Amino acid sequence: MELNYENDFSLFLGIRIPGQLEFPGIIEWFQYHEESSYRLIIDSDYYENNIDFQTSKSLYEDVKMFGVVSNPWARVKLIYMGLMDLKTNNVNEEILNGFVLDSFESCVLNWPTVPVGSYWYAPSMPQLDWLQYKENGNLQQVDYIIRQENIEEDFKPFQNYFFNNKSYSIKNPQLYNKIYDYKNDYSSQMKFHIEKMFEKDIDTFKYVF
Amino acid sequence: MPISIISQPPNDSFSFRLFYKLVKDYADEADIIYLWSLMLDPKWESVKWSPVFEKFLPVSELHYRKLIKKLIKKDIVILCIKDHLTSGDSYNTIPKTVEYVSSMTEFYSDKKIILFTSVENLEAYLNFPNLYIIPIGGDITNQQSEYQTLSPVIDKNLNSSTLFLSLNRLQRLHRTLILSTIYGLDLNEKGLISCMFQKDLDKNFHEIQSTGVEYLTNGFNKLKNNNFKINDNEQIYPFKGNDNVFNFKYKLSNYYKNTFVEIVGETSYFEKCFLLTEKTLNCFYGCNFPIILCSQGSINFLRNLGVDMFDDIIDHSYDNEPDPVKKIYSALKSNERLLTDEHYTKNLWALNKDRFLKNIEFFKKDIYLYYESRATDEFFKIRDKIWN
Repeated sequence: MELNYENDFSLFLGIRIPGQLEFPGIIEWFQYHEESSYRLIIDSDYYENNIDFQTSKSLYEDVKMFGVVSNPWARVKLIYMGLMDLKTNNVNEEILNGFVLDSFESCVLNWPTVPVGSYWYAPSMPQLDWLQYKENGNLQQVDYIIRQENIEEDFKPFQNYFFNNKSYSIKNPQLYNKIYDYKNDYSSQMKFHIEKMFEKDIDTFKYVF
Repeated sequence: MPISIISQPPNDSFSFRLFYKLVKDYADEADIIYLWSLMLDPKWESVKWSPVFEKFLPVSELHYRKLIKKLIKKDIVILCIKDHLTSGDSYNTIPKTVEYVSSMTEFYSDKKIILFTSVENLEAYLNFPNLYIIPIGGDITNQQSEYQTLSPVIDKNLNSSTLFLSLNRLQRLHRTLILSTIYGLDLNEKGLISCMFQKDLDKNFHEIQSTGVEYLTNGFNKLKNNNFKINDNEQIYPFKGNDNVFNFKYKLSNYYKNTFVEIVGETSYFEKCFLLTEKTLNCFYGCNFPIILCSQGSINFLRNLGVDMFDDIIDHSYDNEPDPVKKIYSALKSNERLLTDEHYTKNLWALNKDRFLKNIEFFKKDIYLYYESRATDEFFKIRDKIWN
């Protein structure tokens, strides 16, 4: 990851990939530190529609962009928990219709590979596809990729950028530990299914089960 | 050099993107600041506890006003104040935030200030040679992408026992006046009415008494113990702040299905500058005949945009009435038949169904194009004047 120790007064924008536990915490970090709070764009549409890097470049030229990625097995577990919350609370979200929510196993094995409801992306889309694209054969990528599992280290460029020595720590360790304690939730068939679907993320970020 | 985003309200994607697109290339020549108007309004003063950093964070309007002063260094200032400029709790027609902008402009008389604003008709208050005002559209542009995919409520329950809708969430004096008028004139029978500030009605007691109008005081007294047909909780946005599309889909659409006319108590009322919001937009997506109680001239503004205001059906002469009490009376009394005659109103609604859909076409696309092209044209004109 590129380090930049010079605060050049750039604006920052977070690309919100669904199912990232720590993304809101990072936004909060920006907002509560004076050095960074006036530099962050909060575009609500990004929360609602999970806009990707390619579209973002056309909307916000010259803005530095970042995204959070995470272990696919933990991420799928977190998304499943979120969907179950919606189901339990009887929220008639169209997204629920795209998933099989009888059990974690049936949900994983039937993970949608086409867009659900009016969402533009398929839930099986690799995280990396949110953060990079090819233009005339050249790879374009966000300025910062933060691996959730390595967040303290990966967050340092931001601290350096803003000359801020307040490090980042996981905001909700209880939930974090719960979703990362996933091994017993997966059968070998489920594990393999996720491995195939998110192969690109696993290869790039060297994730292991 | 910087663009400073001091604060953003929820759902301001349209306004912020438009502002950013227009001004981003001028960051070397001007101080550029974007903020939510509430930060400048003493009414919203508070100190917020941050659980993350375990300390109090200053958020009073003085903090933000000082901050703006600190940020202004160059000879040209480009400022965007998003959202309304009203306090809405008295008959005072000059909002505090407008007074602030006025003093700020005077204080920086040696600088040129380009002010992007969500309100219309701000020139009525601010007329300075060094101030250039560019309206970029009100909160009616919020949640653009969600509203563009929202289905209008065109299939109504023609057997409904209610005729009109009056939704009142946040307490503002004019909403209390509207409700007092509805009940004072006994027009409530066919109404589907909410008053989420019923327990705080007494806060408006003196303002209502001071009018000396009998039907208002009678109506006000009825409100206090009334059982409203709609008893929504104030927490109508369970997932994110001001998620008006969610609220429309899962809550309001049921009310719209059973009504044909809406008395809209907009955010602005007493002041000359006004903000159009989702309240107006919802009325059109809900396919109700609009009786919109907003600042003077707002109906005319919508009409000039190309919105069908159903002038052959609704008497909108109240739009020109300067007296705030008489205006509400006129709006309700001159349209009394629409609010009370079931057969008449439902028949008219069915005959004019297509016109509602035509308005939806406008609100799905043209309104955004209008605001964007108007702001762009204005900004280029001002830019040529200032930088030449």
